[in-house]
Amino acid sequence: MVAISDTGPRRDRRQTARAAHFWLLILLALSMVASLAIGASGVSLWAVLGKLATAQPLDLAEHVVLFDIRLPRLLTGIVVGAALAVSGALMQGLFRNPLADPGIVGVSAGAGLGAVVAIVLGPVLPIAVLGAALLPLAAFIGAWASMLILYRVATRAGRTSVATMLLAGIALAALAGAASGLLVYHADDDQLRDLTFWQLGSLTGASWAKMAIAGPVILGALLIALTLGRGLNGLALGEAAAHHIGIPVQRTKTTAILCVAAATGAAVAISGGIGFIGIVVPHLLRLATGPDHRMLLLNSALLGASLLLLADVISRVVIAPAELPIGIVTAVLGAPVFIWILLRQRGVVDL
Amino acid sequence: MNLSARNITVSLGRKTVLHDVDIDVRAGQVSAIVGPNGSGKTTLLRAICGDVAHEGQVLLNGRDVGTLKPWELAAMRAVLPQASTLAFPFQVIEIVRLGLQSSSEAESDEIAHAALSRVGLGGYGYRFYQELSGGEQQRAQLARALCQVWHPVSGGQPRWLLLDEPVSSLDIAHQLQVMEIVRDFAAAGGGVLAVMHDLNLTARFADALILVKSGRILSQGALSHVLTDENLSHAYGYQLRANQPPRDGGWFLLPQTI
Repeated sequence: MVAISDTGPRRDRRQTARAAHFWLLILLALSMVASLAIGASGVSLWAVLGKLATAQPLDLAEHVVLFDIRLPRLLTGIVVGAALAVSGALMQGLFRNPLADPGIVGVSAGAGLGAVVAIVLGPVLPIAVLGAALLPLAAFIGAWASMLILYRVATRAGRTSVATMLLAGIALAALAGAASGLLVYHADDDQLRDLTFWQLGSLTGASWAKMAIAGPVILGALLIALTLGRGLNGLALGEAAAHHIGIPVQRTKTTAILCVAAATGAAVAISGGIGFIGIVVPHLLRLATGPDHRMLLLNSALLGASLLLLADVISRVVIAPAELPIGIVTAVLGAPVFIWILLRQRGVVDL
Repeated sequence: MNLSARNITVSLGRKTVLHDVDIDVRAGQVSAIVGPNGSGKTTLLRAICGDVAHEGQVLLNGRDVGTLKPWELAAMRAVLPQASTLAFPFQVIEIVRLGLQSSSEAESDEIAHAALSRVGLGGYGYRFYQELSGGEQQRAQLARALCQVWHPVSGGQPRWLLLDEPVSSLDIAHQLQVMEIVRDFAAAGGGVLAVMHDLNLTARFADALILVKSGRILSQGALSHVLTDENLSHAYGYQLRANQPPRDGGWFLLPQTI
């Protein structure tokens, strides 16, 4: 199924994969510092830390920039990056294919449609009673429906057709995009401003209020996802063989689909559609430490969080003081990787 | 302790592939399912494994397979499928370890490497599975299955190897090697049920046979009882004579000769 690297390691990769937990944690810590320290406002993290250390009062600008802008943005970047990367790893394990990614095969678009429905129709329908939880819930339902449709269409008798999966994903994304476009016509000015945000994909809108809802959802989904390692390893052999070695196949699949829907839905609800993190991160990790999902899922969360934070830093400094939408940065980094994977397994994909 | 299937009926679409099949297989011996192409051999094995929806009941060591959890079943029997495709670049040893249920890492590593050596792939552990030839992949999968039921008897109960054409893509030396592994497993008290294609090889290694034709059992029991000229000719629709050298004295090689 997968092209093999010519220079693969000839030794036990479990140690490498476990050591990677540690190195990726350090990378994440460094990314966090960079994310807090670098920004358009000229507030210095080090000056603030110095003041905090010597118990001097912070001035208002410093307080607002650091605690109300950069800190929630930092946490949002971490949970969104981890959510997207782990969703990618889960989908790839579920579809037994390294090209599955929530952004590419329409799951993010489904979540986006859910979000648009919530923004535009939320005030009209009785569902408004859900308040702030409405948006993530709608995004979750959109992502979940997309996952179910995609899995039904692309998987027959336990085997996933790559071509069907990618094409169904394109159709699904187009359909969700069209439905979203239709709703945009009925949006008023305020709603339009909210909606533009979805199309770009950005951490700009990060706030404590959004984090309070999406954060726990994503963390819960990630924790559950981490228990699926052995199940996904078994599924790599095919559904029948997974059953033979004692994997509860149906439960594993259902749990994976729900985790992807919750994590992607919540991530899209707070940051719009950010692409390619879900495909680049697991792929790099598989090359470096092997495809064992028991380690891959945690490593994906750590590397995904780090990469998104760094992409966010890049998006803030490239055209400062303005900001590049982060989706552009991840696409520029990720699209070539996607094409590279596609080319390397062209013979097998057989489109 | 036995493996028995009662009233197994399998329909794929509108076509009924197995009609009310009963089989009884004893642990401690090698049993083989033989029959012509499309007779339902593989479907019968898949019904016993629980891979296809079927009517009737499968009892493994006296327990109804339909009521057991996947991990309870996995502790009792391992399955070697006919062909396996694999997503992602796993190393051979990583595939073999997938068969292991629960044991400490050191112990499980020992079993995984022993299983690889057992199938003649001792130095292949850290190669990529996709780099292996078809026959080597099949043996790696056998190592995975062996790992899962490494001790042929556990808690006084036999464990089972269910094999779907385990030697289909192997050369003659490796065919013999694999069949010897299987025979040793049975000799140590485990149960073996294998779908077989090669009647010579089957005759050499199997203690009991099940001859299937058109979704029904034509004959089952001991070798001499099942592999009669009459049964074989009827099953395969071709006039067959066993235990006769070619009339024109042509070349032949039988595994029995070794």
